[in-house]
Amino acid sequence: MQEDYINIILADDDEDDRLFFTDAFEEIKITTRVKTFNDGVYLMDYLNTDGIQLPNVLFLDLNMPRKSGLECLREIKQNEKFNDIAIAIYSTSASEEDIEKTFIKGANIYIKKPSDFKTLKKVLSEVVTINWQYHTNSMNKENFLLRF
Amino acid sequence: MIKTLSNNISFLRTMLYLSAFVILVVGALTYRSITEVTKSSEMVTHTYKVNVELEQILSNLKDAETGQRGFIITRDSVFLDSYTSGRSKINNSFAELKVLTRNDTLLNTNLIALNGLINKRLIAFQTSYSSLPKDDIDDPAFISNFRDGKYLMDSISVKIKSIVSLQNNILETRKNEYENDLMATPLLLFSLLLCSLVLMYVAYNNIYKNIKKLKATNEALEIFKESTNQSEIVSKHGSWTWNVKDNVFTFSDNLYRLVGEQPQSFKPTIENFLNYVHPEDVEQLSKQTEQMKENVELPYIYYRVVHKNGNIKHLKAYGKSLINEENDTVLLGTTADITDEIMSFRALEERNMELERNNKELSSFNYVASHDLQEPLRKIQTFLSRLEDEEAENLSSKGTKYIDRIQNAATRMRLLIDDLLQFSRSNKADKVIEESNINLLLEAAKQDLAEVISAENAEITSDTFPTIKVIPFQIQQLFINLLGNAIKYKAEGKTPKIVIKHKVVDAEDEENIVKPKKAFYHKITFTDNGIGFEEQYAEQIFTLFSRLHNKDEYSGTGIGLSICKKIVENHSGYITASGQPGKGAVFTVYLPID
Amino acid sequence: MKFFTNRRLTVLFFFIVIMIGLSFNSCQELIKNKSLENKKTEATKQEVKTNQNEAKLLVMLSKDNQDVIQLSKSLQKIVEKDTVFKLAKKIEKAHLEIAKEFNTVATNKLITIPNHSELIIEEITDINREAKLNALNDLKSKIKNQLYLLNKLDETTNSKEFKQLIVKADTKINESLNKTKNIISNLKSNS
Repeated sequence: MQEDYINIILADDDEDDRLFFTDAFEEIKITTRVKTFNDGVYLMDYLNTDGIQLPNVLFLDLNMPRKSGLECLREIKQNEKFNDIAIAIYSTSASEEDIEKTFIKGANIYIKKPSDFKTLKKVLSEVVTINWQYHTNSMNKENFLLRF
Repeated sequence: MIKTLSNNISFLRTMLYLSAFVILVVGALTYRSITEVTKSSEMVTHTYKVNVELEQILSNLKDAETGQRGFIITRDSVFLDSYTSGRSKINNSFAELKVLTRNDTLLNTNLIALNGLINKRLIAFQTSYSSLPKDDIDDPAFISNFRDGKYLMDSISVKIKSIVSLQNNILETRKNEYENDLMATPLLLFSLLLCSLVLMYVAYNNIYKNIKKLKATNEALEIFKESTNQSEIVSKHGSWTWNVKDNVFTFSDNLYRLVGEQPQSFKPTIENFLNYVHPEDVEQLSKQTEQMKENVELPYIYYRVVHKNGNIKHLKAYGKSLINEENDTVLLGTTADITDEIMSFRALEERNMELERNNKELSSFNYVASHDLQEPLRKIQTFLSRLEDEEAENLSSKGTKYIDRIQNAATRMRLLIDDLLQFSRSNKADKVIEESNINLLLEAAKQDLAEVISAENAEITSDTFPTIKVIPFQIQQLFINLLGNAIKYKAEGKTPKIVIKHKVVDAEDEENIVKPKKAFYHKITFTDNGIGFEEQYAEQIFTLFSRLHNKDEYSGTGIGLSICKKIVENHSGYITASGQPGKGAVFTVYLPID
Repeated sequence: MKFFTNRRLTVLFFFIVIMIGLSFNSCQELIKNKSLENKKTEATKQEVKTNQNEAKLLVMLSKDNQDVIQLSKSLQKIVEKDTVFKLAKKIEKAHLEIAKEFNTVATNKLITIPNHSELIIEEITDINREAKLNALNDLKSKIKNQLYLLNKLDETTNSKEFKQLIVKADTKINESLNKTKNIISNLKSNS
């Protein structure tokens, strides 16, 4: 069943980043429904609620209070229910360590937050239009970090 | 030295035996001489005794004669006493002579003849009395008798004289023989004594020389002992010996000082020494010393001692057992005071830990700071760009310009933060060195710079690299920085061409490598055709924050090359640069081969 | 090292032992020599004494002998030519032989013996039986004395020659004594 919109969730503790994110998606010519959460706890609570619509793509910030993005990633990957969610790490840092850890934990892609709005729009539209099935099969570390 | 000494000992021994032998010979010869002298003196006495008896006989005869004459003249019978006693006296003398001349047949014969003559004479005496006419001394028979008597006396005298002279001759010959004999003996004795004296002198000389040598050796030994003592004091060592069989210890002077006591202040025994050992180490030390007895060698033993004044010192002991000349096991040991070493080691450890902590703090500070600085900066930039997009029509040209300027500044700040972040990441600690495919790293680097490369149409040619043991992401960063620089500093109007070459080189052949740590290196050269630089800045460019151009000409933070240098040093390698203004630059990276 | 010390000690020990032994020996030798010397001198003195005694005895024997000869000669003068006379002559002859024997021995033994008798025999004017008896008694006593002296000589001497002489003389003198005793008994019975 093909939805006519793409379900997107962002978990980020930074208000400005959430603003950029939602503004960007408003301007992208792709039909999306965006939900944002302030931290990992809210996110997981929502995801674990019965009857909700699972997102197609989950953008996960790493540095969050209460529950970090890494923890959420781990929890999500442990739960079979969430297997179809494509997880994109959306973080300020692009340190080897973080990339490594998230890759191992099973994230689908790693995005370093761009500092330019135009670039942000481009990146986001790219990510949400990826055919994740295809993409996941040919996953390797070189492709993991999105280059722009 | 010992060999010459033992040779000397056997030499002295032979001297001794020789001298003893000579002295014994001298003794024997002396004894013989004495017996000879005794014998000869006996002979002389004997001869003289014979002579005396003979003279006695003659004198008795003469007495008898005189008596006879007296009697004839005076007719007084008192004169006949000497005649009457004459015969017995003569017989007595002869009795003596018989014993004296027992073994001398010639003399015996002579004496028999003499006896005959004397007999005749005595007969003549008797005849004179019996045939004596009273008071008639003119009787011819009487006179002839007397005359006969005289002749007999004469012949007796002659006989006696002959016997005496015969004896004397014999004595003379014997004396001559003896004298000849005796002549040799003193000479021989004298020469032997001289010999003995010479031997004694030689022996004395030998002993004297040896004693001198021994003295010299002893002195040298004393000096050596002193210097050993001194060296023990300076190097804070003590030494000890342990005769296991007799359980006798000797401690060197400095060993006492190591436990805080004066030299030789207590009897060297295990118990006394253990008194000074730290209570916690006593048991282990006793066990290990027991082990030392059985094993030939033992590894180092570490223990602590407590001085009387409470100071604790760390000691390191080593023992080795030897079998000496009498087949006893003797342990020789050295003990060193390593307190200072341990203290400085501990201090060093502490400092290291402190430094590491500091480093870690700085690192994390560095990282966190850069990371956390990025956030607001990103926000600024994003909002600025949004502003540009959304409110472009509402802004005046001034506003747009200002926003531009803000953007530039923000961009510069971002670059700086990025580079600082890079710098903080380029520490060696905790980074894993692994065999890496350098080609892949180069490709990744090129990917990173993909935008700029395509923008400038840069051509990058490279050799194929072997796998090298590196910290992968750091080498990748290295490539990024060097390639980025080469493109950034391109020559005006020229398309940047970068050639990367690889070669394995011998460290000795490379002038650039000073005091190489390894024999062979990977030499990677990055040659570009950019603006180059003056040779004099070749070393300066690697220092932190140093730039050859201001920020308006070429952007940059002055950190890039120092990051490269740090990365190369992490790999124990070298990086050098040379350039020609207007022509280009060559950056050479040496990575060691294990 | 120990073995070496031991050897030296053993050598030293033996050396000392030998030295002590030698000194002992030499001391003993000296003492023995001295006693030997003394013995020798004693023996010599003894020998001299013996010789002197032998000489003295021989001289006395000779003297008596000569007296016996003289007495027998004078006896011959005072007796008739009969058996007594013959006997006396025989006695004289026997004792002359003895005298010769004495002489031989004396010469060999370096002894001078008297050759004459010094008896002064008075002229007997009155040749009677008493005078004869007296003369015979004198003779007998002299012969008896000779025997006594001979005995004494036998005791004193150790010499073979003397011993032989003694044996010879003894028989002869005993014969003479018997003869004399015969004569005396003859004379006694005859008167």
